[in-house]
Amino acid sequence: MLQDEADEALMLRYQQGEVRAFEILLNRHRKPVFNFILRFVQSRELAEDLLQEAFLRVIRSAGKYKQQAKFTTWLYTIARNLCVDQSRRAKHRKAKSLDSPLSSSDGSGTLLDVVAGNELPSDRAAVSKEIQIKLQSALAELSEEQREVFLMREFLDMPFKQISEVVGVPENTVKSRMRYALQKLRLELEEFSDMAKALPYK
Amino acid sequence: MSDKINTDVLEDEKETSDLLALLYPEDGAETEGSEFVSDDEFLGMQRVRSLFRDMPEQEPSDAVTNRLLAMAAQHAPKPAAGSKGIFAWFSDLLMPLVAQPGFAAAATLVLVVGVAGTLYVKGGAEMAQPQVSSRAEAPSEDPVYSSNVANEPIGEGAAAGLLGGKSIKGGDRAVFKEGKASKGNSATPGKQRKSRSKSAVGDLNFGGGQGTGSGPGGGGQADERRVIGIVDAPDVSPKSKAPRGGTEVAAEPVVVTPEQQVRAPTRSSEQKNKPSPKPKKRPATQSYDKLSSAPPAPPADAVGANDDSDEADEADKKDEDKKASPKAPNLHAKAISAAKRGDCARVLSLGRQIRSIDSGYYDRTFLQDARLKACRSVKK
Repeated sequence: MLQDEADEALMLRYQQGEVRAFEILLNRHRKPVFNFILRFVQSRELAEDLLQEAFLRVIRSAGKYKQQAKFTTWLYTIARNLCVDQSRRAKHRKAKSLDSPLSSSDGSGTLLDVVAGNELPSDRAAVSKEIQIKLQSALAELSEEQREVFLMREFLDMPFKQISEVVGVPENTVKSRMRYALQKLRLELEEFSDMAKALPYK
Repeated sequence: MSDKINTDVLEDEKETSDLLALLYPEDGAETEGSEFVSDDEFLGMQRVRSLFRDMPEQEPSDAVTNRLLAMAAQHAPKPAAGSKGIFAWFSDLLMPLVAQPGFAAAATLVLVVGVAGTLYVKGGAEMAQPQVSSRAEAPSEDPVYSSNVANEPIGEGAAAGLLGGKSIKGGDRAVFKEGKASKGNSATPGKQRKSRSKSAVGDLNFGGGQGTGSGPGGGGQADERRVIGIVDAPDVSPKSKAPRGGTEVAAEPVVVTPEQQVRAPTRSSEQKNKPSPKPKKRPATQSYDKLSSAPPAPPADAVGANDDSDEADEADKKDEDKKASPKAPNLHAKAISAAKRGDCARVLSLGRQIRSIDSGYYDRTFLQDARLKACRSVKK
């Protein structure tokens, strides 16, 4: 069954001209990649553009694809590079007010647009939208290096070794960045610590 | 500031590893011996992770997905050709070699040398082929010919008999005897003149000068056309028209060429209508053309116009030739082959056999064959 095949096998199938294989890959990865980009650039429009560009690069490079590394490593390397390039193009990276545009160079909406609406899980219903905005804001306060590591580890469940491959730095550096990120977020979210204590840890 | 990150502590890789191993046990890192990790820090980080764990995810718009699918279909790599064919496979194999100038030059050199070598070998074979065919008079049609020639013993007694009782000893390979005064040398002067160039052949005698020319010209009237006369018999049976080279043709030694058919009108209609019991061999003509120094026989029409009696004689001889045993031409051919090899003893033996089979053929054709000249020089 094509749906059960590994990413690498599907990519090889697409390399042989099987478009259905790419469709499965896209359906499998578009959401996590999009959320990674969205949390990184904090602009939905920009995130969609970068998502499209990331998969377009996959399409264009399909002929040269070789099964040397995990497909996800390759895909997130592309996505991460796009995010870093985009971030470097941005003039200012400051903590935004909820009403101010996320990026001064584009009119891509506000932080409220980034934060999800009513799709909260039932056990998380108590977590207010304000907390989510605060979380997003805290993420934006992280440096790019810390943010990308944190996003990959927390939201994509990538092992540190794979993150080091994507980012291109030693594993220990990745761990250091992760620890810095957690330290910083802990300080940023100090006010929600009591609420966090009430949350069941998964 | 209490919030300040103590960089000294953060730089401690051991501590960081232990902390992260506790936070992310699924990574498989060892967690024991984490004495540097404070509970407070660990718990604080765990709470942070709990807050982010349930951040809701968003879906990209369907427009992006559809666009990507369209692009994927548009830019889908072409399926790899499964059956590229032998030429494509061969070119793929050679391309890396040809792409290198050094390899290309070497390959060209190898190609040229290979072609030249092939042509050389082939050319040599083609050069040798006419000799073989002329020697053996279509040896290819007689597969056992060469082995027979090689293995057939020549009895001393037989040779001695041919030599008029003289035995052949050691290197004594005398076979022929110049029979200028032989009985058969009774050709008329005119005819002698006519066949001057080949009179030596006519004078040739075997086995102690017993060669007697049959017919009006006798041995001395050895017309070259006698030799050709073997093939002059225009057997135009369908079988004889069959192309050469097949086994069937090999069994039928004669193939009538258009040239021979042109000569056919010189024969009487009676002869023409008479079915030939056995076709004659063509190789006599071939060997004549290639090896004999004598000029080719004139067209039969021209011969007939000059001399009516010759024509009559010719017709008689042809009849006799036709009646001759089919073995005689074969033996004749073997004799020619043996003469080419210088095996005059063999020629002598074959001549004896021919004479015993068909003395007429022996007198008219065998004795007068210029190709057997080589053995004439060997004195008895």
